[in-house]
Amino acid sequence: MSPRKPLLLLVGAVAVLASGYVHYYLYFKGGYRNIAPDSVAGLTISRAFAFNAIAGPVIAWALVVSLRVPKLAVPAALAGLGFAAATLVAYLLTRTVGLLGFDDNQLTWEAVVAFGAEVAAIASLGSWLVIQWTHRLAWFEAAPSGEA
Amino acid sequence: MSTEAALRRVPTWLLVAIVPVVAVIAIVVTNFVSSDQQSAATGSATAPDTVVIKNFSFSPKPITVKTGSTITVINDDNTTHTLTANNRAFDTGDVGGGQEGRITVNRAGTFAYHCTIHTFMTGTARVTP
Repeated sequence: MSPRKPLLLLVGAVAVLASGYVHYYLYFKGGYRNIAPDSVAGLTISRAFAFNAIAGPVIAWALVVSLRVPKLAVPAALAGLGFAAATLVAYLLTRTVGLLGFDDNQLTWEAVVAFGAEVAAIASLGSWLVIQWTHRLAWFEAAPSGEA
Repeated sequence: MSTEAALRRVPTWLLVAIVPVVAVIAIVVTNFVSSDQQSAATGSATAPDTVVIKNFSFSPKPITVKTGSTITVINDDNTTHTLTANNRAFDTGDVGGGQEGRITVNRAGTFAYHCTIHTFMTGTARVTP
């Protein structure tokens, strides 16, 4: 059995993959590889970019595979939602008060693509999770009357 | 649902392989297409009166030049930077990735400078009479 609304999972997978790619590109080609103005528990802005570049494809893969392994769908969607939300918050911090000592006040195409991808991931995966939750609530409400 | 029916017809091996394959293609294409601008600045890194920006850092720190000198600023990153005196005595303006900027220092003294886009990037210029 496949999860409901699989297209939302696919859109989320593409969006998460796009965000991960942008961070990969910035890490290896954009000069973000050795930036460490501040470090918190070993985490620097460069390591955060590297983590994002690795986590993006892993989560995207889990989302796509969940089309055949439904038990994977909710954890993968939650991971994708958390990934996108955390990345978006981190970006907004770098544009305002700074994050790990790093700040950046220019608007680049990489930022626009990543921002759009993260918003798309939050919208698609958030919607998918709400649909699942709503369906389960309906199922539990219907179960005592024997209609389920 | 037609979308769900279409997705059910996609072979499982394709679903499992598609993300890794796309990721590998993206990495290969990026490495093939993207120019490495490191060589543009390497030859000039030791030139006098030159500041190189690489990995979001100014080098050398500090730079020492004589009054009236023109400092060449080479941006070896792929993102835009500036070299701007804290007191605005000099300012390259935006220097795009792989581009160069120039500033002339007409007054002796020690000047702290920074990048106005990435304010954590700082350096010092010592201007001797």
